[in-house]
Amino acid sequence: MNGVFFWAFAVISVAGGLVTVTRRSPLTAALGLAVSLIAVAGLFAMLAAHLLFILQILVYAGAIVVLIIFVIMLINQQPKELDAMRLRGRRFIASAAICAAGCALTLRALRGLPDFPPQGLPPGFGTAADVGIVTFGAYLIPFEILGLILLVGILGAVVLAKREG
Amino acid sequence: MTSTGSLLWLIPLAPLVGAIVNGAIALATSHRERAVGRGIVGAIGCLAPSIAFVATVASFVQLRALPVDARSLTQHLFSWIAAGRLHVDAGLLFDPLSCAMLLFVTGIGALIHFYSLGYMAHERGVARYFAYLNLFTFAMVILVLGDGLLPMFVGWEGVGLCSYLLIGFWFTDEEKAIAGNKAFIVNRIGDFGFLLGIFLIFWSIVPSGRTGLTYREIAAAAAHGAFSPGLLTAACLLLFMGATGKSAQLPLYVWLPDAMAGPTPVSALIHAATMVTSGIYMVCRLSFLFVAAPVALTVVAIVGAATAFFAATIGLAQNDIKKILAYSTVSQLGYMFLGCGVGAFSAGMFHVVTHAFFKACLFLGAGSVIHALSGEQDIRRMGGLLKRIPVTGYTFLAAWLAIAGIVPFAGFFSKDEILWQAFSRPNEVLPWLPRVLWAVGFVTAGITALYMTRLIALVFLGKPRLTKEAENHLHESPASMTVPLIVLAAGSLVVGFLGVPDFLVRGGDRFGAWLVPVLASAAGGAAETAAPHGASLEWGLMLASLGIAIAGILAGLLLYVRFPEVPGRIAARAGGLYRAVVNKYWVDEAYRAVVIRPIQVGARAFLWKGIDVRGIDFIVNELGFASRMGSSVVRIAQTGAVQLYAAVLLIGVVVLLWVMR
Amino acid sequence: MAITLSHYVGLAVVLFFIGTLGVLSRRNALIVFMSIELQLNAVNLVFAAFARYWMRVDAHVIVFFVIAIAAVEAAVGLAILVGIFRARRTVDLDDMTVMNE
Repeated sequence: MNGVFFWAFAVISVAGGLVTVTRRSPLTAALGLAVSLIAVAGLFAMLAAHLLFILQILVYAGAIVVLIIFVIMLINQQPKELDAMRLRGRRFIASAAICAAGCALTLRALRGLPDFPPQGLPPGFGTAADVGIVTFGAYLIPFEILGLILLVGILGAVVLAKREG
Repeated sequence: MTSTGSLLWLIPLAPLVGAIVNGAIALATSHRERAVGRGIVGAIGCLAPSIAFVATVASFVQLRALPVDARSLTQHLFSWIAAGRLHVDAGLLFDPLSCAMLLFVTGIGALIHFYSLGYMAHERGVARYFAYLNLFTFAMVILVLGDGLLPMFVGWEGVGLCSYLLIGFWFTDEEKAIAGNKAFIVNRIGDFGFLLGIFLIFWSIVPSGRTGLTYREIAAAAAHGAFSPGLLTAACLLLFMGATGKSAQLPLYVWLPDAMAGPTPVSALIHAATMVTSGIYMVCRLSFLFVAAPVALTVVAIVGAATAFFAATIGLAQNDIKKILAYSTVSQLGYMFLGCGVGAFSAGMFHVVTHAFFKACLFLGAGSVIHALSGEQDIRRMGGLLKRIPVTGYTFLAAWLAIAGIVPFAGFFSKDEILWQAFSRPNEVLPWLPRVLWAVGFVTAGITALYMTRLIALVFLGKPRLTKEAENHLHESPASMTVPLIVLAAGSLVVGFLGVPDFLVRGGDRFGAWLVPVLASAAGGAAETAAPHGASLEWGLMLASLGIAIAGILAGLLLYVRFPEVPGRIAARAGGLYRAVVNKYWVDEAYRAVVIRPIQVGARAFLWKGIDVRGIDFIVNELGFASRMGSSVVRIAQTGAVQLYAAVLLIGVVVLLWVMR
Repeated sequence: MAITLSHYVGLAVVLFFIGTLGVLSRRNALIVFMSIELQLNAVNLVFAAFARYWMRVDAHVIVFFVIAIAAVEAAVGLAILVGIFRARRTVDLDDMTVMNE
């Protein structure tokens, strides 16, 4: 059962990624990204990361991708301009070669990773409560700093987006 | 063995203090047009050497009281150098030799300081003059009183420096400044040899332990056989090279005639009586070394004799009164080296002393004549001055008789002694040499008498040939100038009696006897023993010396007083020979062509253009250019395309992964 | 076949390098941006897998932080992009070589 779901989600996420990376139209690319992110959310669910599953869908695929789509529509590039920026063959092949090499070597370096351990997970693993206990326990200060970063980000975005004058 | 001299430190100290005080005054008042405090400056300037002279006399008295075999006073001043095996102390040594030297250095030096008061009365920069003069006295005292080679060298360089400063005293005149340069540079060449000689001596002594290169230590080392014969000869020759520079012998005499550009008292003090005699003093000090290196000693004798003859011939044709005296000095210094070179060191030193008196008198007299004639120095525009400036004239004549070698004046005894020693002492290197040396000296004595007679004839005798302004301002010099002249003339008369040869008066050579504990004797025979040939040979040679001197004087009087048109005809007949002599055998021109121009050309064309511009500048510029080229290549990578940077980064990671697979 | 840790990590590596491919080869700045999000996503997957393996939720906290930071980065980055577009009327990365030399 596990295997079927894993491979399904895997294929979908890879396909979505490829769509993102190769399409000329940014809108199509954004949709590909969304699909890939949702597939990974599914993988999170399989890994008993319940909170992350929700967050991935709500924040990542929901807010971030939507934000990107807003910006795409704001910039509103015409087909002529998009054409000018389409993927050039030589560059693509060169990059693909480098990435393939990197991918192969990394996979090779990572061989010998073990299986999951025999006993099961404790109940309530990966739920909001479980993650919450750790977040507000050992990682309280980073959490607060994260809040500060969000504040700075908001301010920055507002300042940058203001029109001159 | 030695006693501590209580006043020795005063002898160098007084002139040093005088130099410092006058120097400070000179610096402080240099911007003023009018000379300030001439009286004070002169007073300090004359007081300093006078104090030194008094201290010297007192030390002399002290020295005489000591027994002969312990006759020296020492004083240790301070520890100077302590480096490895070289431990030099600044110390003073007052023994019969340095005593004899110092008595006339400080005595005649003081007289000349007094003379300067009158001579420089109308000059600017008097404070500077007396500061330099005192500084010179200080350096000379250190040279003589130093107890080793290194203090002597300090004094040696010091007198060279002061010579430069004083020759170029009127430095605004380019010719005079160049003359000062020439003196210093030529001296330096000689000093190079001197230093090498010191190094060789040090090298020979140092294997046996620490040394301070004092005379005592060197003598002890020599006695123990520390010096190999070849090395000793080389060292002595190198030291003598320094002496040829300082004492103006062939080939480094060329600075002395040009040095007449300085004030006449300077010429009298430095280039007649004191500095130029330091070469002879050095040879006498190290007589024990030279005696052990007969080849070097023979070279000294030959150079001395050759120089004496050479310079005398040039003196025959000169027309500047000071130049004639300058060549005369070179010639007489040759006689002193001749004396030392045959092993008669006390004879050489004796001539130093007599020469100091009569040559200083001649120079100061010349200065008086120049002063009387308002600056005229050409003897062709003088004449008949004996009646007009009698004090100058008669003192000059006294010195003239001394240098010509007429009994009983001083020069007779000292010159005759040298000639006798040259004739009678055998030479183990060149057996035929003694006769030749005597012959050269004998002929030179005649020439000396001739050119000196020519000088007094053209200056003091005959019909006056003065220019109008000289005629109008003709006056005898003030007392500050004439009194020293009288003292020196008296000295020229009397000093000779210190060294009467033994065959005339038993024990008459008091000067030689005084120096016996200090000077070595050549293997050929002691200075005091009776000659193996017997007294008759001595008598014969003495009469011959006197004869040639009288012959020279007669010839001079005939040629220049009685028949004044004859010299001109002789000159025309002699043609090329006369031209050579008048042009000083073109020695300066030869040096310029052979030494100076190649160096200048080499420096400009080779060292400057070749190495500096084409070599070093080229390398530096090319390095800069290569830098710029390299950077313009590397700059290509800075495209500003961020994706390229990322790609390169990733390639690097891939490579790393590959290496670590 | 049982699904092991290696499967998840391998998948993550593949996803990461797909994203890298996009970063290196695309000229449109927006698409490069989306590729960066793919890369971050892959990293999150690795963390979640290891959390499951080690049975500790600390890695989940890290993923939480990554997502939050990605959100901020999206906001600020897109704001900059819009600003550049307003000035130059283009989002072509090949035209943006002001930092050369």
